[in-house]
Amino acid sequence: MRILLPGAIVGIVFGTLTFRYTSDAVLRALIGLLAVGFVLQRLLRRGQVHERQQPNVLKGTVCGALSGFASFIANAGGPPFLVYLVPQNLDKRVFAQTAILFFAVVNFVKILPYAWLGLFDAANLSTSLMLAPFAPVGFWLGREALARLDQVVFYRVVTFLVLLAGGNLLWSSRSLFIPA
Amino acid sequence: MHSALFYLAAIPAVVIMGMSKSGFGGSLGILAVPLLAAVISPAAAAAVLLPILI
Repeated sequence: MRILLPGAIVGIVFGTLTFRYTSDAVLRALIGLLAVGFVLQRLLRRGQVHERQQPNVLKGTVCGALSGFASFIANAGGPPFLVYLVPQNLDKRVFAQTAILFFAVVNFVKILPYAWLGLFDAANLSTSLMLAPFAPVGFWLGREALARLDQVVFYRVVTFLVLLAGGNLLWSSRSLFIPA
Repeated sequence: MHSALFYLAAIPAVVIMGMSKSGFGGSLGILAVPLLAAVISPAAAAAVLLPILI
């Protein structure tokens, strides 16, 4: 935690600058890359067994920074966080507590730069408010599903959707890569 | 006001985000922003979702 968080702050600062100084097309491409990268990482790491790793300042800072950055631009800070923490084979409860605390701090810290960027305008906030009731619906559905549904199948379906959503964003920002 | 297309993307996005918080589906909350960024500006997508996440 002490190793990951400073990195995350650096990542958030980079995220802020990216939001400030790049276009929507660049952001779409970045989010698309993150999404597609997430799916590829899932596919490649399947069934891989890790050697137990000790905490490492360099790896922790890099993963923390990537996590903060990905969290800032796409709420996708999870994967780099896992890359660092999973091989440490922490006790389940310690692991869960670290994850909850880390993302609580990261998400909280993000409020300030989002506000500074003018992202919390009336339109965005009222949209949030309108969509907010659906989050507990999802939470409830998830709890019900936990008892009844095959998690692996759901996981595959949503991972496929992530791939589609990411691919779609890359496609809509293709003009960045292929000059017209 | 938003279009029907927006809600078609946004409501499933938020529902799946809620599901991932319940422990079902792990880190799949990652779907929400890419899905929303298809229908509104990517910065707005992240901004709309952050208050819900917290």
